[in-house]
Amino acid sequence: MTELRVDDEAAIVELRRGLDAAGYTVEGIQRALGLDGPFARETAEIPYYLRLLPPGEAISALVKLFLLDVPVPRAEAEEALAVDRAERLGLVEIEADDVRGLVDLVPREELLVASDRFRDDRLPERPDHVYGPTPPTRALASLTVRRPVSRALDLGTGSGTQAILAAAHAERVVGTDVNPRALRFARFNAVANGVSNLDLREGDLFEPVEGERFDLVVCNPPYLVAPSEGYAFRDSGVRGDQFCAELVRRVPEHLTEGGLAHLLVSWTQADEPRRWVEGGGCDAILLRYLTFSPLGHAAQWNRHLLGDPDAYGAALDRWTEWYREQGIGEIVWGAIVLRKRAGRNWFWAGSPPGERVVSADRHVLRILATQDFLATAPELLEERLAAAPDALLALAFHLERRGGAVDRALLRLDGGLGFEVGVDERTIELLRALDGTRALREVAGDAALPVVRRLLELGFVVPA
Amino acid sequence: MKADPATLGPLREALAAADYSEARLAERFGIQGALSPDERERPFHLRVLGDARPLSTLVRLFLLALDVGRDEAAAALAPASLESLAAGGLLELGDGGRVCSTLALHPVADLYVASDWEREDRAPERRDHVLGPSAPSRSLVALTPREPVRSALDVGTGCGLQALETARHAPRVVAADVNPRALELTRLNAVLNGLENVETREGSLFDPVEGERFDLVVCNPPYVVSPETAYVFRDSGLPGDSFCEALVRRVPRFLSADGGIGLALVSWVHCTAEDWSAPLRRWVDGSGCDALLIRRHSLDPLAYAAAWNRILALEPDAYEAALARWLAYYEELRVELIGWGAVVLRRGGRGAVTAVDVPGEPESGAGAHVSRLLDAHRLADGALLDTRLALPDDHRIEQALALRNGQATVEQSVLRLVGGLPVEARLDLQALQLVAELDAGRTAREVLSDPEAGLPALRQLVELGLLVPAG
Repeated sequence: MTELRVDDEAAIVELRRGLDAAGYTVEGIQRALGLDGPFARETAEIPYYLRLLPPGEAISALVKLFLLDVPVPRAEAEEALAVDRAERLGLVEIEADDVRGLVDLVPREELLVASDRFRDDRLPERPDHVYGPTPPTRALASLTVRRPVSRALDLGTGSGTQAILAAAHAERVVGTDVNPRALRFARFNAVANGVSNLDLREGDLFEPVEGERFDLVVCNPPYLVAPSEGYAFRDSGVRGDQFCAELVRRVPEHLTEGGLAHLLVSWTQADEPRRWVEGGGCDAILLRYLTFSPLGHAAQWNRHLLGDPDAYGAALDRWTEWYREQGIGEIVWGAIVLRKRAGRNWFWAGSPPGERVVSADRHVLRILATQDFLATAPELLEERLAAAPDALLALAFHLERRGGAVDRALLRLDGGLGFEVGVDERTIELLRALDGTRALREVAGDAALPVVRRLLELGFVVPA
Repeated sequence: MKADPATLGPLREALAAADYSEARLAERFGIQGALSPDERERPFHLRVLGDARPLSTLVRLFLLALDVGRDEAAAALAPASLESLAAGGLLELGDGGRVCSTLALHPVADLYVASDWEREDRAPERRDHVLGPSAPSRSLVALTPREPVRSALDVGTGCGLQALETARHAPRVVAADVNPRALELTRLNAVLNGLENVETREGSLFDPVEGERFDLVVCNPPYVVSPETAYVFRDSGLPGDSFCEALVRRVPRFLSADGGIGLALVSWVHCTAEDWSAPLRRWVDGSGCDALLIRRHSLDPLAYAAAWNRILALEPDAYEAALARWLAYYEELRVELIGWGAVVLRRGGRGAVTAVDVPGEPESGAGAHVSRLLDAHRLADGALLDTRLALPDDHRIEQALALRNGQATVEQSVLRLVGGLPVEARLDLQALQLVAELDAGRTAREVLSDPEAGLPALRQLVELGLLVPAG
């Protein structure tokens, strides 16, 4: 199998320029297919997609080569890209008169990300398979605080998405991976996305950055809690939760004072990650996104076997049996945000309704600020507080003969982690009264304190 | 299959005793809807079911098409006996003491509905296949007004779902179908549910009831616009939407002169240049009925062909061939868009027509909303300004408010109906003020500074059932 070539950077830059010119972007592909939302490929629907594509246009040839894995006649491919150059880069192979794509090239927001081919109906063949951006990739990216920093680290960078995103607001980014093929893809993607401040290093975990500290660490680790089946991108060889524990324990020694770390994690006991951060000198926000039963988790991770009932059933049994042996009753998936800070540290856990793709970094910063504020143990009643400027109240009511009645009142934030809380009419009145000019004492008494504290914690109310 | 009360009565008892219901299955196993779940998920479902007898036994037998041990089946189906169910054709008693069901048995609200087996990844085998309670047929159930009527007709009854639902508020129901197998299943389902007022008649569409009239006519016909003729339940074999047009034009003759109501699910072809309702308006023109035209969605030919052939998606070649065949057909007929929805007719009006876009799934209260929208035709335009109007009991106002500097600012207000037809209208602050004033007992002429200018918006709220005559 041909491997990606990354020594000819000029060729990669030219390739990207050609793809942009052909409209090979999120919006361009969406438009070409006539879709209402971003394109999400399902292997079984390829005959349908092929008919959605406008015939004879460059973008159609590119979608076939790099998203659908459908061969394209050489003449048609030449209209869309310089085939010889793409072949030299290891992106396509030429068979007789047909050109066949060898990698996925997936536009993600402004980025273009090359990775190994992905199919929803089977697991990758090679153990060192390199994944493209997945929903967890986006969950982590949306959580990451995007403030200018000096040094950033992407631990287990894979095809490099997090490192490339960090390169936009860090002077220097180090990306590490134990899989040399991943580093090759990351290198390719860095060049294709015009990133020149990324330093890629091969090695296990923190090995390549021994003794170094960073202002920002991001990590999408092999967190899967499952019997090992031998994939570098998924199985670390130790249980996913234990791997996460080790990772979280070791991150603080690589953070500068005030530095932030964002990690996706799995765990199997209620709020167990609280123990992982103890003594690490970090404040921590734990976000619980999804909780699975053993059987539900096994089904979720074996959907590629749906076409083969015997193999699917056998996998469900193998996994659930393994959970039983390990004494695992549930698997939680979420994220942890660490901030290195001298002094007495705090820990806060919240349960957002599933992972979200909208940018949540402002919300994360707000939670950090609010927890700092609460940790100073203020007399809340003496504080000036205000409803958050991006707080929205979703109200459903009906009119009756005399007045009206509220059926439902929910507080939400415009963007952010997606917390929702039901509020009663007294709380709504209180929120209107919290305009930041008066101490809480002037508008509420002791009885309101638990509600105010909860609204503060979730980010609906902020210190003025 | 025998529709024998002595056999099916005890079966009903067994199903009820086990609480074999949609709600219970959803709660216990997370199985949504009564249709067979994704076949490929069977290994997962089997493990979720575990050994929760007798419910797990019934699900295996009647939703998953699996065989179960004879003793297990006997325990779950008592007081019905395996031998009598086998003699009636519902069960097969195999060698080695295994039992399986020849039919699927879907719990639907408080009914049990038997149909042929179907899989979402495989087209049915027999041309006279009898489809189970599909999503469209459930939405027709929801759309149908449930006021007591003297007589009802279900045209193209299939597994009989519409007829069974109607039999609860009509003393006499005729269920007609060209497919004798469908009528067999309808009779079985009537007996299984203890309903004695469903009469089945074999024949195409209205042929078996020529010259008769009914207070209520419901019809979930083979409305799909396609080149196919493979299935009685799906394919009419007539070009384009001519089948649906002929059907809609025929309905009025079978409606009681004093307000008989007819509902039919339809697909129709329309152009991008005209309003989606234009062809339907032509169909109902001169019918002697008031009409309510409901659109769920319109699809372009490729999306429509893909939606109806998704069942083939696991066989790329067959899927490919079907898409090519359907698209060539649409090309030949110059089809631009295909709409899907329902036509409701009520005899005895003055030919008023309302067209409503209803993008969501109707809920159980939709039938009452359909009646309300038909009634709205009786409010003449001019009189609206002086009529006392009120918000109906089932309205909701939803607002998004921003909280800034101690101010709550309304960013958006939507008035909607709940529990039935998902219709809604955006209200600006003025309109919100108006509906509140109307609801408080004033008329539009009293409230509006320029009543004539406000009339179109007011009429729209009335046509959508968001305002009703007070009283």
